[in-house]
Amino acid sequence: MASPMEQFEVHPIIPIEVGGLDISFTNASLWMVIVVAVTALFLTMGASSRRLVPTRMQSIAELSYVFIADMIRSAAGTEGLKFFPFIFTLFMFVLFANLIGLLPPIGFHPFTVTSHIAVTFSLAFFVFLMVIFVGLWRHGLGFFSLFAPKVPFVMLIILIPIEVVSFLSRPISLSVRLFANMLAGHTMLAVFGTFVVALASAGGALSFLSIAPLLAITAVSALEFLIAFLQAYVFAILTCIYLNDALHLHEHH
Amino acid sequence: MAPDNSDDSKAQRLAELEQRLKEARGRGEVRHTESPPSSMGIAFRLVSELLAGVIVGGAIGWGLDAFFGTAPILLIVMFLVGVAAGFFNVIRAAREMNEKRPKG
Repeated sequence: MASPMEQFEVHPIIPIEVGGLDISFTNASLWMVIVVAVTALFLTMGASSRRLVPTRMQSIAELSYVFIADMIRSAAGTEGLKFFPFIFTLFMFVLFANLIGLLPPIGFHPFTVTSHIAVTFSLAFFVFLMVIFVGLWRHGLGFFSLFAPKVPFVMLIILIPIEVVSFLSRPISLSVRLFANMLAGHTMLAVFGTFVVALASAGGALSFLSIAPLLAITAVSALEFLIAFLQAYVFAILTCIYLNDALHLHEHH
Repeated sequence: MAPDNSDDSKAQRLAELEQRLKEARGRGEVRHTESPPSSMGIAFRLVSELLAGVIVGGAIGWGLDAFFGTAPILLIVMFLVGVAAGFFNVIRAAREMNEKRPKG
């Protein structure tokens, strides 16, 4: 029987090697291309009709746009809207990667690119770099006052290292959360799936019992849809919160 | 009756709509679309914040030890700093969650 982790394996489709580096086009790359293509198609098709009374497609596209714009405004202020394209792209990519990963196997198994820490960490690392650059560009070296809360000097000796580690831990927590959620959810689905098959093929009263894991898998699937959306939202809103730190240092919105 | 499309009446109708929306919001008919995060979401958020602090702190300590050859002093120190940073993260995240929750 297939291992529940088999769905996460990366296989090269077109092997490419440049200077000893393996940069093959893998199934992960393929599904990333698919995610980007579907997102682009969905948004351009949604926006193309430009009707005053929107169609369903247009409505969803507009809703997602307004949703993110509102989120940025409330978390990072109006200044944060400058970074709308970045955050919107991030949100849509994560959301569609999560949702496409949940498609049932139709001859081939959809690959969840966000279940790999290499992918989520790259995204989180871009956020991290952007926050540093925005902070330095806006406040110059004053950006580093982010690490020094307003407390007596003696406390700073302890607090500055803590704040620095806390700051450095952001991309880790951002990426680990998304990847762990996806990995756990899909593993759970696969394990329950093997229970259904094993019980159903056992025969007798046992095959009757296979209804229990089947019900569980249905419930977990529904939960996974919620998590797919929630994690994309969390990723985007935390990006906004970090951005707010860089834009406004110690103020709050 | 054909709708009057002069700018004045448009502005007036817009103001009326605004008023009706405000009343509906007051009655709780138009709900805020943002749903509270699920308990599992909150748990995942807090756990990952704590873990990230500890992992980063430990990793920095390990790296510095390897660099200066002072094993295991810096690993221990930075691990403790990482634990503290993890708790900082958790407290900060929890505070954010409380701020977002509607009052009352």
